[in-house]
Amino acid sequence: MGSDESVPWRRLHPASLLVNLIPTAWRTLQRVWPLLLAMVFSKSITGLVDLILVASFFALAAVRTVLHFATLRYRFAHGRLEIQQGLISRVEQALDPARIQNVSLEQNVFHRMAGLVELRIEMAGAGSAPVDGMLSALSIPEAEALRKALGRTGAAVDAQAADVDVIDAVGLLEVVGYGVSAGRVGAAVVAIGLFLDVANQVSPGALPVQNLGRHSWAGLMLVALAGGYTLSAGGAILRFYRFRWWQSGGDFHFESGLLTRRRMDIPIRKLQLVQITEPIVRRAMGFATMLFETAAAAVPEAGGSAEALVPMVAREDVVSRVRAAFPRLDTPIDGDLLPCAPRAVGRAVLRGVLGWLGPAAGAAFWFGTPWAWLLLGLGGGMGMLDARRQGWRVTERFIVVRRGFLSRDTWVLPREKVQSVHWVQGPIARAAGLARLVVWFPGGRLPLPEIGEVEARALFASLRPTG
Amino acid sequence: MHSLDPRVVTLWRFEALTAVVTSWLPIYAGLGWVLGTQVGFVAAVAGIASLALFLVLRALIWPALAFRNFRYEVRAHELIVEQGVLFRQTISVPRDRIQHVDTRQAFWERWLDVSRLLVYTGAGLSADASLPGLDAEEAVRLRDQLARAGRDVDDGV
Repeated sequence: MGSDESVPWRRLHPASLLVNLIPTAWRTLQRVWPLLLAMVFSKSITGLVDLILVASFFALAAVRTVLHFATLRYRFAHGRLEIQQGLISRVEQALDPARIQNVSLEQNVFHRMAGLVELRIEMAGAGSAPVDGMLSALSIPEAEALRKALGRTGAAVDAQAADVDVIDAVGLLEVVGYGVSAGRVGAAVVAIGLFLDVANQVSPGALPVQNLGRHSWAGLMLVALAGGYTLSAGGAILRFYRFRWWQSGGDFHFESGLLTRRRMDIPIRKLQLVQITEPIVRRAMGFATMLFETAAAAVPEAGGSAEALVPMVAREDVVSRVRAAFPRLDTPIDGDLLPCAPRAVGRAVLRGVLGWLGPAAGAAFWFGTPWAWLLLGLGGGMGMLDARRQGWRVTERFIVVRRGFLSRDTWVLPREKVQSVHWVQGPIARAAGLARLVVWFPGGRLPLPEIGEVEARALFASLRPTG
Repeated sequence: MHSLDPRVVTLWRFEALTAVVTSWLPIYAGLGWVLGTQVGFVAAVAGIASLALFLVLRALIWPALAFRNFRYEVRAHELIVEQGVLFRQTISVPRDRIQHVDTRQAFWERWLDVSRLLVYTGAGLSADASLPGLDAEEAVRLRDQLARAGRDVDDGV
């Protein structure tokens, strides 16, 4: 005990002052962007005031960077990683290695230039902080020593995937395909709308928005589509360039990124859930995306924000990839699943119609009643198709659930990870003789499709502990 | 299966009646303003009075129904909870998954000497099961009984 108390506290690498300055300044700017926007378009503020304001933001970022460097201390003592930081609000963390869910190593451009690495640690639980422990600038030998102290048996900090060990690698074309099929066209449309509005405010008449003809609007929409797809593809390249997934010992490693290289190390025994997500365009391309969840994900529903993500997996390889995570998989995960109850389809149609009531009311007001009926029919149809694509299976070792028509999701959860089982039934479901099970697992909840009440009772009983 | 302590009905009624007075104030104001400007003063008073009467009746009746439908049992390998009036729920929490158990007493609960027992597993999002309105001593006994079970086993996390 006494010897642990004498373990010296360590500080971040001094180069962190430079490495962290730009990212901290960027984060500061992100927080005050409405003020900056107002500043840019305001005609009442002089250039000198602009300059002072921008300089003060950078000064604030510099102070935060210096404070971060000056106050953060860490050490490995008492069998755990201890981190202290903060000046006014002091935070002390003690991270137990046995509870670590994953460790990620990040290197942005500045880290790479300085030969440093950022180490992030995520623990189990639902803390509000995105990361439980973050050491933003360590030398690679320092990070390696810490990784070993934390008992990590997998690849070294600066290890690269050997070709023989690679489970999956994603090429540039596939990454672009992932971006294109991610569907962020809406964001581009919103951005163009915002641009037109701002342009009209700044310089009325420069862009005659009110007098645009049909062809101009069609052109704008095409620009929005092209811009949306370009943004999506660009974002995907930034995040998933040279994606590698490999295994060493009992750990999975996921590495990717163009400007910022990120490597995520996840002990396979800590994997809680695998999600296979297939938006309709990606499905048509013959690919799926795989997401790996540990108990670190503080999400209300399964599939919120996964720790690791394989952007493009060929459809025929999905089962073997799931088996890499769960070697004891004892069930098919695609075609051969049980459907939801037939009466649940009717409820799904009703839910679909109700979900589209708002847009239908708008359509009736602006374009006429036939458009409203069309939208309601569309909502009902989508609800029906979604319900018909639902599937589930509970075996001795696994629970598999599938949902979605336009974007299909499949979840694979080992039963040994189940924390509690909830049998739920609302008044309408009760009248229809239906019920649903919701399985809680570390990091999320997995609702099964609605099934008959008697069947749900039997399934609930089978999922309860028998001793 | 065990029922909750009957004092929980009083507790829930106090909580619901407090909400009728406080939480619903903005709704009363909005309803009063809309009816007052569109239909008239009498309609506004009648509208607010009807809503308040409905909420008071609900606050008096609903807790009794909820009490009747709430059952729990600590079994050899699990805690089982049945609850809900319109939306019914049965929860099974395996005892070897329990991470920790809390007891809490808010203002009304201290006054009535009842406690709320919250059972957490590795799911960690919120309490997996909640037993409101237990006799304070019974809550402590249950807490100690359930907290002992989850030690030294693989919790799946």
